[in-house]
Amino acid sequence: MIAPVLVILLLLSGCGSIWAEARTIDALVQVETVGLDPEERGVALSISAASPETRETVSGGSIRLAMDAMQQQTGSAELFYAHAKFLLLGQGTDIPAALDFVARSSDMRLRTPVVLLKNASAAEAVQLGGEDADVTAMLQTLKADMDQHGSGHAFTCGEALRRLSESGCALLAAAELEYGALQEAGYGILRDGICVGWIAAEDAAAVNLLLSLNCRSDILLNDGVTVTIENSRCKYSDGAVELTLWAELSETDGGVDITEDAVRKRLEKALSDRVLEQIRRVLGQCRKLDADLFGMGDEDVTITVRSRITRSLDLVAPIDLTGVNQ
Amino acid sequence: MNSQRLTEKQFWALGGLAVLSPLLRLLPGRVCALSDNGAWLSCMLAFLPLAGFTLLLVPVRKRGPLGQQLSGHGTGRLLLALLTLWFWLYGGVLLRSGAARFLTAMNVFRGWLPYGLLLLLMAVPAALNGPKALFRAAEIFLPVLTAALGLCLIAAIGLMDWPSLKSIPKPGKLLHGAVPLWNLGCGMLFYSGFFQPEEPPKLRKNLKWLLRLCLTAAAICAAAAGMLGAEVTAKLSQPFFVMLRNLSLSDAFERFEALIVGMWVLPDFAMLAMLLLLSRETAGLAAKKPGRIYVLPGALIMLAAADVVGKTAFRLTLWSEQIVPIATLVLTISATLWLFFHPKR
Repeated sequence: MIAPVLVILLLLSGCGSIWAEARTIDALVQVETVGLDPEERGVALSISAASPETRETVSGGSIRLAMDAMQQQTGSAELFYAHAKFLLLGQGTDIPAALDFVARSSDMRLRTPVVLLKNASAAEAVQLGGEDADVTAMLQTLKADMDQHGSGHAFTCGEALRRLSESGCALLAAAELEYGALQEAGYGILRDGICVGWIAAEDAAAVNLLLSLNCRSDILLNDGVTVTIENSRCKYSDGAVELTLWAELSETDGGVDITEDAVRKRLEKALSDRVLEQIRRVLGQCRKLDADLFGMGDEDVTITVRSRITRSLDLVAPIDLTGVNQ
Repeated sequence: MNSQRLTEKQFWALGGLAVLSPLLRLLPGRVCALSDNGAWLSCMLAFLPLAGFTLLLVPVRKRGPLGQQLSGHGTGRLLLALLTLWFWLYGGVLLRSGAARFLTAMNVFRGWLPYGLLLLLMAVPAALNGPKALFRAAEIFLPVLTAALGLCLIAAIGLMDWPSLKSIPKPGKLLHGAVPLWNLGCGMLFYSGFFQPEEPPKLRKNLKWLLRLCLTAAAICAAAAGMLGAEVTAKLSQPFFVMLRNLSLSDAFERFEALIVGMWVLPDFAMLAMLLLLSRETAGLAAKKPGRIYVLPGALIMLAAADVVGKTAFRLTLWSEQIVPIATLVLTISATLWLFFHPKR
């Protein structure tokens, strides 16, 4: 009995299925970046694909109609959206409609990272770059930079949907066009699905600390000292935020001796003050926009930041370069 | 039913394989809709009413196969006739919901009939042959499905938002969320009571099977709610397969939802063949004329029922999420209670 069952299963599944919709990979254009912009009568769809190189923008009454129009415009090769790496939203795009489309689509995935463009359109962005680096490569670099430097986080469509459905507010990574390339622009703040404001790139690290996302970031303190936050812990309870930072001394002007307790304590306080200032700016911005991004509600919160500088990389104490002690 | 020397392992393998078919119809979407992020806990809580039902069912099953016991009374035969109709109707719902799952996950916008016909083409010979071959098939297929499911759940671990699973709703919501799994467990335990393995049923083995079912269900709900969020999970038509679409094994292997949904034809086949076998048994006992003659009409009625219940996806949802669970609970619990208090003399 098992053999006939397996034979019939072959009829149902795979490329030889009775529903055979099998397509050879050569006949497909793998769309890597999907861009959306608002239009007076619908939406502008932009795509970027590497092989064959495709950078196109078309308009349609809806995303689906624009996809159909795009298919007609690009000729015989079938556009394949199943492995899209980024969703790029131009300023003013109907974000709920875009997220609804991705959630409903059996092609696109909820794990696709979304990047919101500030003062720019996706149509402009997909035309960026030359033969070596297209918009997808730029977005990949941008995402890697954000992950490495804690200067943002590329939330996915699923994460955005989830946060919007739970609290009505969400964040999306923002980028802007500068000098012919995409630059980090912090975060776009969504409330009820609409982008109501922005968090500046220099404050994005504070958002990451509050959300316990990738926290590694370099901070320039006074006296030419740079510290790198290596780890953090954020606890929120009963109207109080307690943030603990673990950092390392990564650069000085050559004269800072971290082995001295007083020096270390001064630097730790400077770091705490700097981060506290950033957090206050972020929370103030959220309050102004009535966006409860961190689940703190309307109540006033007490913020405490504690920093510990735990090491100073390979150099324990400064080297005297004057030769006076010799 | 003539067991033809069914081993205990084969007996539980069929239950385990067949339950996977309705499991993904109700989980994780329906449970998340009822109990939000506490869906996983609801699945664990379902163990309690299921254990209570088992305590009632095991003494009844020790007296012999349920069909034989029911045939000893006039009312019992009426119940058998009712069960026959139920098995055919339920088969129709399963056939259509299996087709809907397959076609949606495979992104095929075609009719359901080829799927239904092929599935019945597998299930009818299995039901005509008797239970032994079906049980043997289940014994072979179950480890494959379990391994696939386990691999998917492991791949989901790294993508889950674990803290969100700690927000547990009120007890009322949690208990409400336990109903879908309660109905599935009661159904499978009751239906398998029509078969009789070599050894008499043991309470411990029943509870062990139920615990495994509840743990599996809890893991599926936790993975989906942790990855997609309970709110989003509840709104998706096939949340488990949407979850699979978003999984990746080291970025080297992804988009394997089509593979898994292809494998899920096996539980559909097992459940459908089991329902045809059961209806063959119950119809034969009700009419006092046992035989294979009921299999083909049963399959045709299932096909017709599938057409009626699935005219639209919304009607199918009403059947699979409301009517079938309530009917299953009412039928299985009332029949078990009746048998408990009316032992065959």
